[in-house]
Amino acid sequence: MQNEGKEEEMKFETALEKLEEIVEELEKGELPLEETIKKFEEGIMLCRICKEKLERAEAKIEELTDWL
Amino acid sequence: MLKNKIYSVWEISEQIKKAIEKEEFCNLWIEGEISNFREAIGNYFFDLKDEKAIIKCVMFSPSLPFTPKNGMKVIIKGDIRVYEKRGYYQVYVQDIKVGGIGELFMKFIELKEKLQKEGIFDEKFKRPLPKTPSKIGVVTSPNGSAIKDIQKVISRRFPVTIVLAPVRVQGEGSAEEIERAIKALNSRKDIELIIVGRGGGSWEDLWAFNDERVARAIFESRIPVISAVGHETDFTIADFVADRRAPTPSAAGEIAVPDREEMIKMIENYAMRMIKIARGKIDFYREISERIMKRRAFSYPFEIIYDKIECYKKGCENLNKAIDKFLEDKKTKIRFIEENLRAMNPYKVLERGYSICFRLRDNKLFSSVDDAEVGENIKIVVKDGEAICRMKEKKKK
Repeated sequence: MQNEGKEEEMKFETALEKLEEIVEELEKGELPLEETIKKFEEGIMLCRICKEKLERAEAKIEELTDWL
Repeated sequence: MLKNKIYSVWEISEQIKKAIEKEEFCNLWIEGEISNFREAIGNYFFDLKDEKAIIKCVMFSPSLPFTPKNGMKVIIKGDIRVYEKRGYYQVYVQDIKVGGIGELFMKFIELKEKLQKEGIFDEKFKRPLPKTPSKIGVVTSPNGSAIKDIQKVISRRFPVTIVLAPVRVQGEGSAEEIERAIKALNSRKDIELIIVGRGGGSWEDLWAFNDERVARAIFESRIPVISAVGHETDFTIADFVADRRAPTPSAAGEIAVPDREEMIKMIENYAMRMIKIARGKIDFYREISERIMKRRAFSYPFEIIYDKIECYKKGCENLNKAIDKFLEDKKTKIRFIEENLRAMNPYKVLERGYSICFRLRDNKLFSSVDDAEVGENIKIVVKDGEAICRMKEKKKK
């Protein structure tokens, strides 16, 4: 969680929140072209990260031990 | 009520109904013994009685873990309402707790009131649940139905890691185990949500979840807690303290994680929206730049230069022509003047046989007999020389 800057380490929820922010910002339509493209690229990258994380998720069950 | 009015049966029944069906007769717990029990089209009808009184009860679409029987000691929960068609009041039962649980039940009520006063159930303490927890701690029995249900729902909706804290969920020591499990999960850094619960059972079976230690452990939990105890109709202290009550363990699974397919669709939708916006923006600017590019300066940039060169060349040419013409004019004029001059040269006539005479004394033109005297010398100029002659006589015409 400390390395949120790194793409690989970004939590799904953080990525999703960022993505939602970007989509909202883009939809306002006030950004100049260059900024739009920059945000767009970032957004698409976040989409990819989110989707990958979703698709990679797998059910696991661990048992909490040595706590009694 | 009006003393000087004659009421119809319906009118007076309506008044009684109004008088009875008030908030104070709602959600009451009543203890008694079931008698005259019968079941009709899935609904229960019975009387609840004690030594001194009897009250009619009806339970529509009951969902109980047992079927009530005559002679059963129960605590029922319900509202009292008037059934005017039959002229009696009855309890519309929502829930029935079975058995000699009067004492436990009172403990439950007491603890609930105590904790309520402390504010432990207050809405302000409810923490929001993470939207997509990556690790979920589950406090329940490793052999019960709850863990199976939770696991099934979670792996179907959004597979994540479940950390099971195996505990006993009923019997001696179960409350302490649940308490310790909640604390142990809290000491880990990776757990984002806790589900505490168990499958259905009798009132006594669920008792651990009415324990004060469990309630406080849930309250103190740093990690948000979903309670999932028994069936839809079962309410425990844990449910009141938890950040969210799930009616069943399966429902807890549904609450805990979003649906993966829906999330993927949502993200794809975000991507589509962004592509649409970016494309729109690019098209907009492309159109502008195309409009600019269509202007002559950009589409035929050299033509303008060629035009200028052409213009310059033409200018030079015109200038040269003008100069030439000017010179030509001047030449013609000079030639004309020369010719004129030549034509006017008086000596020119000498060639044709004429001569010119001058007075010798002063070289003045001799063109009249008056110009010279008799005896005076006259110079005659002819084409190839001159002759000096003396005038002999003069005759005037």
